[in-house]
Amino acid sequence: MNRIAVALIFVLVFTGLTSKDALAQCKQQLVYSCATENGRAIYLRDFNAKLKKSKPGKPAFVARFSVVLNKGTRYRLNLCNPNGYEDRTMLILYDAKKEYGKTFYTAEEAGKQGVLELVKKNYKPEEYSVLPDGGIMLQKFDFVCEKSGVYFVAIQYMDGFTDRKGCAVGILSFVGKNK
Amino acid sequence: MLKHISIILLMVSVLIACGDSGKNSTGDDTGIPNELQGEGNTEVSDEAMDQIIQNFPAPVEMAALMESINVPYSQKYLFPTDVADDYNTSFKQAIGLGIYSTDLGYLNIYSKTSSIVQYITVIKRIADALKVGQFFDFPTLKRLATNNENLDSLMFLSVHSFNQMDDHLRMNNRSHLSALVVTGVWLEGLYLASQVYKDLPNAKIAERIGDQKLVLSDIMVILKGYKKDKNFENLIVDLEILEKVYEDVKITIIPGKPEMVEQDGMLVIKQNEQSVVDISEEQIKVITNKVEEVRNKLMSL
Repeated sequence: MNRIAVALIFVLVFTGLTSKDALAQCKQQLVYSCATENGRAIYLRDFNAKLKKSKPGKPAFVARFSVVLNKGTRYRLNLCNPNGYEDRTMLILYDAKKEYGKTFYTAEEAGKQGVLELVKKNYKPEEYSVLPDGGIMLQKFDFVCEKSGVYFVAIQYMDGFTDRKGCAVGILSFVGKNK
Repeated sequence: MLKHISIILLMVSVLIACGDSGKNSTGDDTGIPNELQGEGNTEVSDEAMDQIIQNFPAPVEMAALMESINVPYSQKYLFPTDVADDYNTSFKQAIGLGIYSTDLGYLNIYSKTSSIVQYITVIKRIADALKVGQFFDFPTLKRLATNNENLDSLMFLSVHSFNQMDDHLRMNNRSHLSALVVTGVWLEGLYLASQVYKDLPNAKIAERIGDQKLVLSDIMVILKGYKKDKNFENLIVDLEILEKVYEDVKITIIPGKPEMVEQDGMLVIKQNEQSVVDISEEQIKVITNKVEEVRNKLMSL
């Protein structure tokens, strides 16, 4: 009986203590490096996303955050992943009506919008990657806000990488007043 | 045996429950009545309330705007630190935390490290009183400011500490304090913009003052959730006067399609859809006076 009791206590206490943290956020060290290795942009806020795994065939879990952005301001959004999770997540900026920017473009989107040419010309090699299917992953993009209001940042796994839980950090920074 | 297991289960449950209640206890000693502490007292759902609060601009953003349009630094815009000793209620402390955090953002943006120590000392004291001081890395901030070293880290730590304190308040059933902190941040930001405008009129600042109509409407939603408290009620009455002035500020939207362009070596998304703010000199003057009055009243309570 004593053994059962001890086992029960162990299970209950363990699950009680860990359930809230089962989906851990990324470590603060990653937030710090992501926020400070960002050119001259001024850190405003981080989106430390806990990503759940999804069942096969189900859509990827999306971590959503809302934020007020101001007209006339150029913001930078960048995405960082812990080691072993590179090129597995994406960040999307949108509002109630439309999508504005993202860190992943499919081969088709990249072709239509000339993303690859823009990226090759302006980004350092370590700041982007071209996937085997022609899709493009970016570490960051800038957004010139022309309409003050509430916007949303979504962070999620890419298709095919939803089989484990993890985390990713998005950073919102102030680049400056757009001329 | 089942009886023993039941007793053990009951004991463990009680222990876990006690642990949770201890973690969430606010320890507020004054100012805000018990029925307002914790969630479930508001007309807007707790989740919606948290969502609105987390939208608010960072304490550094208004100052960053000022610096980016070459507004010179002036100490006169900052709230004096010597009055902070009188903040002996959680209401005053939370508002004060917001106000001083915005001022710290201003000092950081202009790299005024000699004054930063004074402000982080006050913020640390207030944060400790609100039991969120553990998120404010005072020794590191002080070292960075005193040695005038690594100003990027100083900026990051200042803003990040503020974000963590605010998150902690919201996650631990103390959203009423978080509501006051963000109100303090917003009010001080608007105070800064309106005072700068008084000295150096500028169309971009006028527009930013007008834009605050949107944020004020959210501020009112969250504050009204706690209107049962006398302090909140008084603050709401004051801000309603400001809301009345903002009623006549017109914001219209000109539709447009976003486009991807190349600018300064970056992939830049230009929104093209625009908001246009129509605000008069007279409206700015009334807003400036009212904000000054509310700020001074709040801090001399």
